[in-house]
Order: sequence, then C-alpha cells, then structure tokens
Amino acid sequence: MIISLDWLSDFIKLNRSPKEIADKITLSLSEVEKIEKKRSDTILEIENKALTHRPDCFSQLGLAREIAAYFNTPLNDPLHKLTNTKIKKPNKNLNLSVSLKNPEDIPRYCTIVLSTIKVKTSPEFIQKRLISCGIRPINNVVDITNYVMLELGQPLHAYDYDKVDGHKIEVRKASKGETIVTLDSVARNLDKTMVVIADDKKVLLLGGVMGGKDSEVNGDTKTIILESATFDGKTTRITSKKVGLRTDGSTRYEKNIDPNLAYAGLVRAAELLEKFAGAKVASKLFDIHYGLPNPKVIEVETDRLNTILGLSLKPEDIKNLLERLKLKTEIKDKLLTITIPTYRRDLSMEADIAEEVARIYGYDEIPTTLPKGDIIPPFKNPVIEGQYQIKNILMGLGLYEVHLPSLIGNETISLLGEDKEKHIKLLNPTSPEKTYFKRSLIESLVLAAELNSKYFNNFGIFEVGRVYEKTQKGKLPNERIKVGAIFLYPKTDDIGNSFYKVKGIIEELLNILSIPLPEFNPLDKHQVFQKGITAKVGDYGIVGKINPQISDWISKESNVFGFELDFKMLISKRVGKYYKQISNNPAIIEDFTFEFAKIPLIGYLLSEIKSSDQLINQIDIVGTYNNSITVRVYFQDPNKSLSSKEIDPFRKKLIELIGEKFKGKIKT
Amino acid sequence: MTLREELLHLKNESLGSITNASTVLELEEIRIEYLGKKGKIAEMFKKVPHLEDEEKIAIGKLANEVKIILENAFEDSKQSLTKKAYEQDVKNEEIDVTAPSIKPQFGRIHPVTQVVWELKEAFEKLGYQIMEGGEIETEWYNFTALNIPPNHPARDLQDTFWIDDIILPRTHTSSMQVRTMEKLKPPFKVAVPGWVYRCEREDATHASQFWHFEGFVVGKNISFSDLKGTLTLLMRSVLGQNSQLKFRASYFPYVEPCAEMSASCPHCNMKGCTACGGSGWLEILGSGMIHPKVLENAGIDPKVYNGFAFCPGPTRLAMIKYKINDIRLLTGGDIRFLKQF
Repeated sequence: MIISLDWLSDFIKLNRSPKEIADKITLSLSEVEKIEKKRSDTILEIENKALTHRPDCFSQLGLAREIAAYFNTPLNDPLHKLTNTKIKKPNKNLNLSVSLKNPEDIPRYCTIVLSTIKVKTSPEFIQKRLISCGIRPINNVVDITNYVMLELGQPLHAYDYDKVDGHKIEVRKASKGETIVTLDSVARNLDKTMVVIADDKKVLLLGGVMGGKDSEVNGDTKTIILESATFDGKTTRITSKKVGLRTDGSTRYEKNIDPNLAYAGLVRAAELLEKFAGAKVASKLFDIHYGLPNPKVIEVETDRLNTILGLSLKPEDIKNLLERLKLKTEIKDKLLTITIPTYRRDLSMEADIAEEVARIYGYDEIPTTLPKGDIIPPFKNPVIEGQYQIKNILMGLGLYEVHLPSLIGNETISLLGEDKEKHIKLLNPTSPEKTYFKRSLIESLVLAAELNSKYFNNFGIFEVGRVYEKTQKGKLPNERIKVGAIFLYPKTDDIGNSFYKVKGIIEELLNILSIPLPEFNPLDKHQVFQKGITAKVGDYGIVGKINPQISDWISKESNVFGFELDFKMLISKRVGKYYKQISNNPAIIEDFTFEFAKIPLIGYLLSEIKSSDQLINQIDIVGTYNNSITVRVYFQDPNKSLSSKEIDPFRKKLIELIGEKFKGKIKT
Repeated sequence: MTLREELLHLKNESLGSITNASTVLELEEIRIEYLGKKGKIAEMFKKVPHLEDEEKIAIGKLANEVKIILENAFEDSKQSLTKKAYEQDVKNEEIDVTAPSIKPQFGRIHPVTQVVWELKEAFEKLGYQIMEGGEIETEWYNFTALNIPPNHPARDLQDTFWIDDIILPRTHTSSMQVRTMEKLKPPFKVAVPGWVYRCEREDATHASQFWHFEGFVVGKNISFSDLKGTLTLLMRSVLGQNSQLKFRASYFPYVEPCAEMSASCPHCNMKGCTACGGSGWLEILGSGMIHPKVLENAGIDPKVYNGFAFCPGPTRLAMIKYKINDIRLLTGGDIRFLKQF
C-alpha cells in the first residue's frame, strides 16, 4: 500500500519529516519498505502483509487516521459528512432497473445513473495523486472511481449506460459456461460460485474483481451507471483465485470492507464527477441491502488489559490512547466501554483492544519482563537428545552432516529403480526436482554424493532426517526419522576394506550410544544396494555398497557405500552403561586353526565363539588360508590369573562347538 | 715395565681412547675394555695381591685412583656425548613448520543444526520442553485451528504446498501449538524445532524448505512484556549480548497482540552492510500473545489461561550469523560449504 504525503495533507496537518512518519508506521502498523520522492510529492510504500486484517488501511483516509493517532494530531475526517449527505434529486429520470438475488454474496449494492458526462482528461491534482499511488490516469470518469477507491478504500465502477442492454442491472451468480472479457482484454470462463453484474444479454462485471470490456467507458460515453458495491470477501477471494486475477478491487474486497462505506463512496464519486465531468444525477439512488452493520461495543477491564500488556495504565490513560484512534471510550469504575466504528472490521474482542493500546502506547515502550513462577528444568526428550548425540558421534567419526531437501524428482526415483506411485506427491510442486517426498534418505544423499564427487574422492556425509510413507488417502503419512549416510572411497581401495570401514562406523556409533551390536546378515535382494556386499543391520536397517548403475552415475572413479538405520528403533534399544571390571591379570592367548569343507561366515563364527564362554575376552582373526581359519582367543578372568590347565575344559568346549555348529576340525 | 708404569700407561691410553670416542656406544665398548669385570683395570687389580707388602699398598692405592679417574672421565664423556647426540638428533629432525598440515579426519555439524542447538540450549535454560511434531499436517492444525479459516486472506501470507484437499506439508511449526495444547495441561513452556515448507520458486533468498523453532507458553497472567523479555534473552543468547532488538507491530491471525522483532545487524554495528541489505536491522521473528480462539480450539479456557508464541527461524539466523548469501547452499550438501563451519 502506498501513501501519498501530499494527499495525507488533506486530512492532517503534520510538521514531520517523511522519515519520522515512516518510522512511526513501521513501529505501530507495518513496515515502510521505501520512501520515495515523486515530483512534488513523497510516497511511503507500506508492506501489505501486516495489513491483511485492515481493509480500512487500504485508503489514504484510513492511513491518515492511523498517523493522526500516532502523532496525537487532529484529523479532518470527511466520512461522517459523506455518510450523511443526500444524493441530489434527479432532474430527469433515465430508465434503470436493479435486481439483487444473493444478498449473502453482496451485502450492499448502491448505484445511480449520471448523465451529461464529458469524458476528458482529469484535473492535474487527480492525475498526480493517482500516479503517486501507482495508478495510470485514463480519463476523468475512470480516474475519479480510482481516486475515491484510493481515498476511502471503496472500489467503484462506471458502466457506459448506453452499452447496458435493457438498462437493466442484475446482480446474480454466474452460470457455468458464461464468459466475460474483462477490461484487460482477457476472456474469462465463469462458474456458479462467482458473482456477476449482468444486463439482459451479457455479463457486465466479474464481482469484486474487474469490469467488462463491453460496457467500458470511453470518449463517446455520455451517460454512466455509477456503482458502489460491497462484494463479500470470501466470494471475491474464491473468484479472484479461480480466474487468477488480483486487482485493486479484489485486494480490498477480500478483506471484507465496511458496507457503510459503499454509500459514502458513491456520494464522493458523484460529487467529483459533477465537478470535473459535468455529471448530473439522472436516476433515483438504488441502495439495496438487508441491514447494515452497527458499531460494536467491547467491554474491557482495566486490570485485565494491564495484565495482558504488562503495564500499569489508569483507565483515563487507556481512554486517551484509544480515542486517538477514534475509538470512543467510556469509563465506569475500571470498566472501559469502547465503541468500534464499523470500518474497523478487525476489532472484536479484548485482545484486539490490547493490541490497539500497545500500538499507540508504543511497542518500544513495553517493558521487558519474564513469566512469573519458577523455571522448572525440562526433562530430556530422548528423541531430541538421541539425534543430538548421533550427529555429534558421526561428526567425530569424520562425517559431514548435511541437510537435504525432503522432496525429490521423478528422475531420481527412476535412477534408483523405484516406483514413484509409492511416494507422496505434491499437488502443486514448483519444480520437477522437488515433487515427491523421499521414502529413504539415500534418495537425496545420492544427489549430494554426486555433487561432492566432483571435488572429493574419499568422504562420508550423513543426514538425520525424516522419510515419508504413504498411508490411506486423507490420512497423515508415516514419518520416520532415519540416520543415513553415503561414503565414497577411491576404486583403488580394497572393496572389502571400504565396506568394513563403513561397518566399523556403524558399530562404533552403536557402541557409544550403548546399543548392543546386532548381527549383520547378508542381504541378497535390494533395489539400491549391491548383492554380495550388503547386510541387514539387525532390525535397524541396511548397510552396503550402492549398486553399480547408481554408483557409476555418482562417480566412475569411486566405490560408493551407504547405510540407513531407523532412529526410533536404535534409541529404543539403548541400555544403561555400567562399569565392567578391568583385569590386570594376564590373559592366556591361544591360536586355534580350524579346517572347514567351506569357510563359514566369519561374523557368525566369531559371535558363536564369543558367546560360548565368559572367560573369552577377545577374539581376533589371525588369518584364513584355503579352507582353514586361524583365530586367536584371549582367555581372561577379571579376578585371578588363569593357568593353562584351568582353561583346558574351555579349549575342549570350543573345539566341540566349532565341530558341531560349523563342521570345523581343529588342525594341530 | 713396572706395574706402576703399566698402570700409568693404561690410564693415559684409556683417557686417550675416551677422548677419541665419538658415540656413547663406542664409549661403552671402551669402558668395558678398561673398567669391565674382565677389563684391563680388573686385570691389574688381580696382580696386586702378589706384590710385596709396601708396594701392595702403594700400587693398590694407585690402581684405585686410576679407576676413579677413569670412571669420572667416562661419566663426563658420556654426558657430553649424550648431549651431543641429542643436539645432532634435534638438528637431523628439523622440519619446515610452515609447510601444510596433515588434517585429522573430523566431520562437521551443519550450520543450521548449530543454531538449532544454540536455541535449544537457551530454551532449556528458560524451562522450555523441546518437542517434535509431524512435518505433514492437516489443514486444521496448520491453518483453521490457528484462526486462519479457509478462504481467509491470511492464507496468502504463507504459500502452501498441498498433498490433497486437507493434507499439506506444514507451513510453520505453529502447527504444533494446538496439537500440544490438547495434550498438556497448563502451565507449560514448549519449543518445537523442525522443517517447514513453502510453495516458493527457489532463488538465493527463497527456499521451499527451511527451519523454524517455535516457542510457546501457556499459563495464567502471562503478559506481552513477558514475551518481549523472553525474546530479548533468547535472541541475545544467539546473536550476542550486545545485540539491539526492536519490537514492532505486525499481523499473524493466531496471535493478538502481534509483534515482530528485528535485531541490529551483528556485522556492521547498524551502519548497514550486505548482510542486512544496508538497513542495519534484520527481521528475525514473528510473535504475539496466543489468540483466544486458538486456545479455545485446543480446549483451553482463554478466560483462565493465556500465553504467548514466537518463532525464530534457525535458517535465517544461520544465514545472518555466518553471512551466508544463498539459502540454497543450506540444502545443497556441498562439503566445500559444510567444511567452513
């Protein structure tokens, strides 16, 4: 919204610099984004977002009211006079009939015929002010409707009377299949949710949005139908969205403007048209409505207001602040009774009044305090703390934390050989690369890996983030937190070693989190991971080499590995950390070589040996040769030194176990 | 040669050898040759008992003197050779300390996570319970419950992605307000970090996905000044104790009164720089007193309880703090970027 300081001087006399005015508006209403000199005028451009609830501020008069309140200066408000001015009686009566069928979509409809119009250019001051506010002058009739809209916030429209078939105005819903060519020369398809103004044969105006080309005022126009209507906010908004057209009119209407303004706007425009276009009233006034809003009354307790704001104002102080905003306030004891003008559509309750008091009192004057009462230390949320720890551990293990988009494109889904139907899809994506929610962190990690492969050939990146799984239609999806990582190692590195490094990172992560290590079970079939170099990590997730097509797409020079673990599963398995006796007693270290028909899975072999007896403190693989494996077993008792004789039974047990479970024979 | 002469000869000979020794090892060999159990001096001592009484005393004394002299000479020489050897080592080991380092393999935490953690710590100190919520929400919790009914113009304040008619990726973490209020009994203080989504064309300053960290408090007799005080404490903990903060009017339908906070630019002392677009000030958050209708929608009686809510954006704060000029870097996963934090 633009305010012209030249225009402002019609309403208030203020000896303040544009910067001072701008600062006050920024503090108490909405940010002034720009101060700009325009010929003899200065304009302030105010951000619209914070005016969403303030249709009254989409006018020079409304902003003047605000500024008058900030500086506590008198306001010359023409609204009362306009509202109470009677439209002149017509000299001659031109034929016009008006019918309105849907009052819920159009709370008020005022219209009148004006004749003897001379269409020409507008007077200098009108043109200048329109230009200041960013509207291009066209001719006096159109300019005056725009001028009144900018001045009072009431959109108006003028039809060429002679182009309205049957001199009949009908306010109704559009029907499906109807069209209108709007003033911007675009043909628009209408439907039955939209409100239109129509004559016998055609649609004249798309309700709340824009007039039609067919009934446009031009140089030949002699007689006009001047319309000042209150279109309903919601209907206007739906229409404007559907046709994809936002106008100065729709911006105001969608905020639900005051129906009382329709008449004042008509009076003001008629007055200006008489003066600057020679217009004469040529019909009776049509003013159709089914009851107009009356001023609301809000009662507020002084003490409540002070509590809400953290202030200690007296009732009189509050009255003074509110009356600067033209909110009439009566005091009875400490109860304030406030009468709200109908143009303040945003004020309906105590909280609203609190904001008005704060705005005029000044947000910068509000003290700084803290909520009363003790500060109770919050409990540690395991979901939050777990993520915090995992990120720190993985950083310590040399990985970079990434934040990657939750959304991916069809191309990525195809690259990974997945089914896009299983992914949640946006109805209105802004780019093809960000259309589907990822179902696995790997889906976006591969993209980041590809980017980094151009600069690095040996790295790991990780993300702790969510994946999204479809559920039933109309139901919220499942969101799961995952811990995912991708690693690139040079192709010259041993593939096994690279895998074991990644496996080691998972094990170290789990160890630090004090989660018992699960079994790593070979996994044969996976869309993304390579057969033979992939394992299930217990029930937590998966680790492995990314299969060759994807890996090659990421980098031809590197082997790519990755893992993905389920966060909630991990943290649900955390156990307490308890001290285990450190033994200074020497261990008895013995090597055993077993021979097998076929080498078993080493992980299973080791965990079998390890769990066979408590005295076995550590096992290492010394080496494998053909079909034999040599393991080194450390027997240790925390409480005493063991003798070779004491471990005899355990040796025997171990050899039996390997024989039984793995068909291994001890080699001596 | 008399035994006396032999002894004196041995003394001179060995002192000569000691002087010539160039390493501790060499010296040790010489020591063993002369002073070892079977060394030349020991041999001499073996001869002493066979001497005449008078000579026995004199030679014995002399042999002892020679032994002590040699022992001292060895010790001195050993010390000086050791010292020399160290000096030589030090000289040999000399390197160019200005040459490039060998870096340990240590990862990095994403800059936005770092800001989230700073906020988390500040929130916890003030007694806020940290919670997470769903990123994908219903229209009710994201909009309608927050006093933004369908077709309200305020829906335009946040461009929204839609999954179907009623399900959407949340546009703000405020979606957790009513969900949380339904579960907890006042008074409570809660803070919710997480991703939010906006239907925006992406460029250096717009992202379709970024971070929010919503804080809200519900209790009795909470005031607007409490909000201002809380925000001042929290934001200074992230932006620095000297940070200046400005509190001003704004509009969000779920708070009333509503306020926005701006902070003095931490880089230019409010003189204006590229980080703050020349104004010296940066908008950092929206906030306000929770709207009575929002409390009502959560089943909390607004006549008994009230509260405030506010939402700093970790993405924005990270950009301000680290002078990051392109928001896309934050979700790009580029190690060249991440390494810097």
